[in-house]
Amino acid sequence: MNALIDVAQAQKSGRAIVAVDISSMAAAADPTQILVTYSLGSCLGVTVFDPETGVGGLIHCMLPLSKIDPRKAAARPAMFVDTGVPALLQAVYDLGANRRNLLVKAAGGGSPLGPDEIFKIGQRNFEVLGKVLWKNGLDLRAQCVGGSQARTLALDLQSGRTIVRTDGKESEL
Amino acid sequence: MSLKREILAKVHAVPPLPEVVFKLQKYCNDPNVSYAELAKVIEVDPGLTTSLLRLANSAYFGCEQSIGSVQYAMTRLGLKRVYQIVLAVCVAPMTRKPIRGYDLAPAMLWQHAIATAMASEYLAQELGSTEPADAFTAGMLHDMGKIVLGNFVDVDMDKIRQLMDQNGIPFDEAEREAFGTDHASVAASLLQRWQIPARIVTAVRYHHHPSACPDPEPLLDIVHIADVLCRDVGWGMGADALLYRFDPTSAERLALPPDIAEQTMAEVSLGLEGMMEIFQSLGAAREQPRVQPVG
Repeated sequence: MNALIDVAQAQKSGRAIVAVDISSMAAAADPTQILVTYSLGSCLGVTVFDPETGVGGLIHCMLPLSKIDPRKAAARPAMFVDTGVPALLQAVYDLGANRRNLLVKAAGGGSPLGPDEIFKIGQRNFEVLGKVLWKNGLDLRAQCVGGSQARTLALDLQSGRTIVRTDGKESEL
Repeated sequence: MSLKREILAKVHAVPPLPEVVFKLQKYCNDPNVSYAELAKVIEVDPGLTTSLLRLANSAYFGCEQSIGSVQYAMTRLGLKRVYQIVLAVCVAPMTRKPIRGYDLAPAMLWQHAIATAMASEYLAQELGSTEPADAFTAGMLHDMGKIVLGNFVDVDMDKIRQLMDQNGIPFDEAEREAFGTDHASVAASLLQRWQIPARIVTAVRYHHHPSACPDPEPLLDIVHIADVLCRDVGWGMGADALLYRFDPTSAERLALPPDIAEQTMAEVSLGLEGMMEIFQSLGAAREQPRVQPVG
């Protein structure tokens, strides 16, 4: 299998790598696109994909709950899991995705600085994701969360494959 | 020559900061200084003046009224802020190349520096225990040792990884075993050479291991927490980013209020992009600082 998250290779085969920054998201129905987000430590990356319509999206949330700063949440909903993930769902629904088909996967939410780190932001990001999905009647299909590694997460909008890269190795989620 | 001496020799090979930085530093706490005279010291360099004014008018540093002259920047933002901006303009070009060893892509070290600076300043403001301007400067400079140590780490990366695996030690301890020094101490030597104030040098020297500092100040603990949070998020992540230990002493000493970590991350996240864009455009405008030594 060729490496999916390889900008040069993707460009050669006419694909576009769309980089999703921290506190940002992307949604599309364009099969040439590969959505990628890098350096997921305690941040949480979530992909959603509807295999019937080919609509998908990816978000890179930094923090669990928007209540710490509603003003910032209004300016940047993708910063928080509780405002970002519903915004992502709305974005893919607007593009024609159907909730019943939606495959939701998550990566990141780690404790990159080890078990002594007191802030537990990664763990709380993942807990809030569970609540948001439950509220929206969705299940988490696959996950690669926790631990101390940094991860890269990608969604291939052509095949619908979700790929996680850790320590230079890619695996399908 | 021992590796440590070789490394220290490389510290001395890093270009000195332009004289203007030292002049600003010297007059920061002098109530009798003439802003008009001091502004001239900056204005002899048009490149530096342009960069200063761009940053002085940025969302992060700026104020409501637009700043059109160096002297007005000094009046509106204060001399410490102007010093900080000039220091940033002079140091940024040194971080633009990729840093080998730590596997930092171009601009990644600077992204981490600015994120940590902003996080440190925010923590200082919120906690009220230290001067926010010092916190920004310490955060900005804390990893500068990597520009010197990077080439040594690159050569000895296998040895460092082996030391970490065999002895279960963090990256900085492996650096000390391999080289007799670590990037925090190298940064401290560099900053001493640049005549950066001693309390900032101490905060930088112990930023990975605050409990080892014999005379800790809140500034040190703030830089440790800010660095941890920025690595947690992934701002400027290098190969070593996740290979350090969290030192709980700092959080205990600062008695961090609930939510402060998240508030800090949110604050930095909103401001960082704009700051990086400005520095990138300044970098594109001039690859090297054209600051003339004066005085």
